[in-house]
Amino acid sequence: MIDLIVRVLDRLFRLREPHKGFLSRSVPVKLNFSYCFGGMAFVCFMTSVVTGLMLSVYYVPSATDAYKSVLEINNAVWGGWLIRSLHKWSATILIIFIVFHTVRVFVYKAYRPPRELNWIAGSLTLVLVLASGFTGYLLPWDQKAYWATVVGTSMGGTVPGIGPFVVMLLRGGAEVQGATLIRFYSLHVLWIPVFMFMVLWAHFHMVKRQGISGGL
Amino acid sequence: MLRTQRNKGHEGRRDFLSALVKASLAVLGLGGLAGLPYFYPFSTGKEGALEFVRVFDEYSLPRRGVKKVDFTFRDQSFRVYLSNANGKIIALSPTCTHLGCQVRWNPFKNEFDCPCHGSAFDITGKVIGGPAPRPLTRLPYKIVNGDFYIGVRT
Ligand code: HEM
Ligand code: FES
Repeated sequence: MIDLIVRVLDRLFRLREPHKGFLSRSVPVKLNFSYCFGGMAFVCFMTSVVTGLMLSVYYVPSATDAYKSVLEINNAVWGGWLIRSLHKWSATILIIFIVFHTVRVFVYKAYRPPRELNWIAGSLTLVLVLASGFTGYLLPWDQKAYWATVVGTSMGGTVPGIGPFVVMLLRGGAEVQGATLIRFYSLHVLWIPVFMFMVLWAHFHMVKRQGISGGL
Repeated sequence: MLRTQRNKGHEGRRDFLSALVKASLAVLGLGGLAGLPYFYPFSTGKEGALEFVRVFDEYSLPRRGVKKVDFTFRDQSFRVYLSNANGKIIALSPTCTHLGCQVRWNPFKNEFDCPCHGSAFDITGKVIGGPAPRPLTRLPYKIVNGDFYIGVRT
């Protein structure tokens, strides 16, 4: 059955042929499970994308309705509590896997030329994911979210010289308010995912081109 | 140097892996189908149905002024302010309409004060100062056979 679907799809789009080189490429002899952390991070990322898109069907990004809409997702929407938990936990575990992946790359010295640029691309994904976690945390618009964002954004104020300017920019005003929620929502569901997909594409493309490094 | 391994002698492993990938795709597809009801706008009916909780008999209601009532219902604790401005009982939620801090009745100034950003509400819950955008929420109540019930959503 699946074979049939795969064959029909391949007949239509001929995806297998151009990817032959990729699908049956050479890999180092001494692979182990620590090489899976990057892939596991990607699975977590895709889970948060799919569940995030699902949450956005019901979530209302407004200071008056955000909290209510999250309660509704939790209580009234069929399976909503599950989707919300999946979103939260995939995002959390994503960070853990990225850290494991980074440690693996570091221990195996896989950051060495010609892969310097890929180390940088990887670091960018970590920054983007942390930014996603920070902006996403405000969205339920409850007390914890609000005060966490008050504290988090106020850290921007410690930058010498331009501190107050940074805080205004982060909050979209002097205080955390409705404008902050919209701003974080936009970052969380549009800007960060767009950049994330671009950086990940580059990351995977470089892996494909350069192959997996030869181990210790 | 990239040492490589061609799949000689590894056909079994290769078949196993491709079967695994296909099985995962099948599971994902079925999972996607199972998730379809998520998008359908029906309600599980779990969300806060209004329920009336008996708190005391009607003689305990305030003759004038404000009385604080704490009670628990299904392991949740609730606080409600009952106020009697001119003969009419109003049940007010203590949750500030600004950002949800808990207001307190201040008997010296005859107002509800919010500790967070200084919103103030009069005895009927009307905003008389601070950033609160709306009056305090009025809760439904009823008096049946001399017992006083407050409507809460759990
Ligand atoms: C395309 C990708 C994504 C979309 C469309 C999306 C969308 C959303 C939406 C609509 C919410 C509000 C609903 C809620 O609070 O439960 C939310 C919450 C959240 N998101 Fe995302 N998200 C995405 C990716 C991510 C990623 C990669 C992270 C990574 C760290 C993340 C972390 C969070 C967190 C921590 C919350 C708060 C969850 C909660 O309080 O339960 N999101 N997201
Ligand atoms: S929460 Fe009451 S004044 Fe801000």
